[in-house]
Amino acid sequence: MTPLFGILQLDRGEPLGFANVSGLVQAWLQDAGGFAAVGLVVYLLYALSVPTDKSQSERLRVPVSTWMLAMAALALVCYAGVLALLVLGKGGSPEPPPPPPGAAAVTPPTVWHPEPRPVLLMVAGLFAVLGIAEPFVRDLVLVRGRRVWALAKLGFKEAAASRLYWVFLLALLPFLFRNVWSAGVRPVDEFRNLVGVTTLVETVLVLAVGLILAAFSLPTDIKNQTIHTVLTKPVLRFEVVLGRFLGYVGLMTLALAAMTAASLVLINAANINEKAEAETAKARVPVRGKLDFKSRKADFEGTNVGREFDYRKYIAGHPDSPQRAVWSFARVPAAALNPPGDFIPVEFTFDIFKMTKGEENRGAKVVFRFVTHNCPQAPPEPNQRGNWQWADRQPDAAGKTPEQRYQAAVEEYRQQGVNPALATPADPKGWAAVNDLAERFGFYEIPDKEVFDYAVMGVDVPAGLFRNARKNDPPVVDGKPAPRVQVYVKCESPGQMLGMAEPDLYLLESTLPFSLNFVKWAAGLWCKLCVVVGVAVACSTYLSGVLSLLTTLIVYWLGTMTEFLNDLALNRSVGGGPFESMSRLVRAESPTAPPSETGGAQVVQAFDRFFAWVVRRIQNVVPDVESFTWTNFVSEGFNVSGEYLVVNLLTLVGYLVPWFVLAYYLLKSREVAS
Amino acid sequence: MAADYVVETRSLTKVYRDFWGRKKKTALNALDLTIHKGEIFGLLGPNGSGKTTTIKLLLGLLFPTAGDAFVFGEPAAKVEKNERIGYLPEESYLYRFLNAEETLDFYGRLFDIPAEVRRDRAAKLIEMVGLGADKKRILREYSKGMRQRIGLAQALINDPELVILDEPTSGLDPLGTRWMKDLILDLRRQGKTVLMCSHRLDDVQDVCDRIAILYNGDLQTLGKVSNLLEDANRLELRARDVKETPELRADLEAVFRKYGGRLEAVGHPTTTLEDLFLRIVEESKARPGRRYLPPAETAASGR
Repeated sequence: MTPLFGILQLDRGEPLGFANVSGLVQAWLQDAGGFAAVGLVVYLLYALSVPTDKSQSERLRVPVSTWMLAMAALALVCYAGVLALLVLGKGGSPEPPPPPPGAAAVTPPTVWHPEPRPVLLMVAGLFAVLGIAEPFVRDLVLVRGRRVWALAKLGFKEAAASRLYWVFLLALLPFLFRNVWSAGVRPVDEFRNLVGVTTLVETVLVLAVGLILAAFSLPTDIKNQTIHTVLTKPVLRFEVVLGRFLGYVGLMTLALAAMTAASLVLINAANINEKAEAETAKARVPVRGKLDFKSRKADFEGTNVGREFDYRKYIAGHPDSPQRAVWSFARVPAAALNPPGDFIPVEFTFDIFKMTKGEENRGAKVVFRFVTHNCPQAPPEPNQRGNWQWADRQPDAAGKTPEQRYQAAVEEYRQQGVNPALATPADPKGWAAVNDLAERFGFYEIPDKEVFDYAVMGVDVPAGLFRNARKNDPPVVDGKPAPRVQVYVKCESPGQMLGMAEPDLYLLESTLPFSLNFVKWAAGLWCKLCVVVGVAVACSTYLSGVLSLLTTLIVYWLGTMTEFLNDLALNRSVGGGPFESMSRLVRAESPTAPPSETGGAQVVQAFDRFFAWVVRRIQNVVPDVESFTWTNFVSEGFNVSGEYLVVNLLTLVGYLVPWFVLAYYLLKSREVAS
Repeated sequence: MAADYVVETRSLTKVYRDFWGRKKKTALNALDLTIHKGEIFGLLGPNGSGKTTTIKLLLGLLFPTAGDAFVFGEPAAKVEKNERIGYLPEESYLYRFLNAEETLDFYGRLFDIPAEVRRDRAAKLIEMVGLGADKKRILREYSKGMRQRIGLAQALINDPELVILDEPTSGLDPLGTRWMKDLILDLRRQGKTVLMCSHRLDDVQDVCDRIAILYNGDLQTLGKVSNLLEDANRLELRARDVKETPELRADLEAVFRKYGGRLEAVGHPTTTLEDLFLRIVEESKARPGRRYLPPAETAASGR
């Protein structure tokens, strides 16, 4: 999977942020540069093959400048260097450790690679891009806004004349026939269901109409010869591409804005279950931590309960269980230091896998222990039952360990008539005591919290804990600073397994309005629209309308399957690649059987490796459209951060620029009147 | 290239090929041509002779297989030269969802003409082509002749120095045809150069200073219309108020014999059908309700 296009899904690894920009630029230059290098070499070979006595017009049509030749030469020298390093096995980025067998392929975060090979590859790509883009940039300078605007307005008027806007009334369908598609939906899911259906309808309408308009406009112009009248004016061919793109994007942006506004009004006016509204009609700003599973044994990684979708791992429930799910937070948000009410909500959604029937309408008992780096925890010794211990056992001058001092402080409050174990933010005096204890000791525990299966729930954590976490620098463990805050989750109910994944628990930094989040979702759809219209217009400079439509559909469809493509590209599918799978089918061999070591099997595997290489190249032209799909954020009530938006706009530009350069060369080299 | 050449082609060749690069047809073969500033030049030839291909090569819509085409001294592939060209295609390939005003505004914008100038010029052109009453109607509702008129207006929106007209009278009625021919002559009076191609020979004869005749991609002849049409071996005399009699014929034969020639024919000259049609329309306008009588009948009836 190319890192060029980013990942934003909740469950698809770390979303891209500003920290990834340098890595994204490096990856873009490597990817786009590779294609540019191939294009540049083909172009120069063709242009230089034109005899020198050929017509001036021909030399003008395929110009070759010293700059292009120099850039091509430099790029080739750099690529030769990359090849030499590759052959010598030097200068490459360290390979990430192989994931455990059966684990889902996780895309490594896009970061800057300072090693010589990736840097040289990037420089080679840069030279190739500079070479191929020279005529494009030279013409770009001549682009006139008035002409582009006229062409954009033309596309706009053309679409309006076809009365396409009536199609957008279909956006009302989810609201008109709500009782049809919401039948059987749990009341608590009403809101996310409504949002899900609304966003689906809008997505289909916007993308389908945008695709049809963009794919057929230029071929129709060429077929009807109306483009002749346009191109016999002082119009650059790229202005036609740009005008069409901007016209259709502009038109569809208006349609999207209108549909988004209408949807928002109707969603807000819809009769929604109160619990559903409280759960999802908001935009939480979460601070996420890293999840580890811990027990007495160091290699405990959570239990797999045998569910097909092994997204969550489980800990066994029992009062004496040493198993813990531990979330580690490297940073403390500034808003957590002095929040209103002096508490920070922590929200969670857990899966309960019942080994025994349990009690009717009762959840599992769960203990939450919040600690800072000033209060490290240690696994229990065999004689300590399942309780995790305070790691610091150094007695002070009075001979008391930190834990004993903490217990003494709690006792002191109890004697004053304040029970910190039962205090809530609604009880100012009790909560002040809780905050004081948390700030002094970096420790806060909530015993016996009843947790229900797949329900969004929350607990309040004293802000004092975060103030404690900001004290001192965390110790360095294995070369990395220890996390400032950790949350230890224990299940106390015997016979229950508590399942969780990393996004299942988070600190709630703040909550923003749902409407704003819905608009951000529309921005994600707008990015997809730009991809669809851009690809379709670029294809239509050379292909017929139907072929442009099909090509764009295929590119988009592949873009929705990046996870699957990732497996193919890394040759990680169970049972091997297509050639090995075919071989196994013929030999009636199980996909999980270890591959044989025969010469024939090695040949088959070599074919699979080549296939994976081809898939990796294809991945470079496939947009990761799922990275712009923010429906889950909105329907689950999570804020789409501004950082995602900006970085995704950057990846959008990075994706569209090569398509525009391709469109420039295709239309420039096309005889529109032949 | 000489300074007064507006168009020049040098061995201009166009070969159409299929997807696999195999030769399909030689549309134009080594055409050498020059068009001077301020003249009306006609390209003649039957269908498929290479007229439209030549025009498309000059406009940069096609790329030459060999040879060169220059317009205003610039290679035809240069977009900048289009600033000084107005082009009326054979069919009026305009956007039919636009009305006349919008059409001219759109093409005016493509020339980067400022809004005020654009509006002013569009209004004048619409009046000039006689579409003032229909300027708000979309082009889909226009007749073929009306589309040809608005097509001509868009070709003149930039006040071009070179006007290229591909079959300009196609789809026009005789009145429209005469109007178009008058306009072409007027363009020459304004100092513009006109390149037109047509297979309506009478139109070309009426307006063109020079013509080139193409056949199957080859240039067959090139020169001034008057020179090409002149028959130096024959002499034409015309007389008024003389009746054709055997005596007259005998006298004329004697005169021509004396000068070494011979009389071929004596008779009444005929007008063109176009002139007759236009005269009828003019008279019908002047005297509504009265049937047109040919001059001979008019003389006989004494009216």
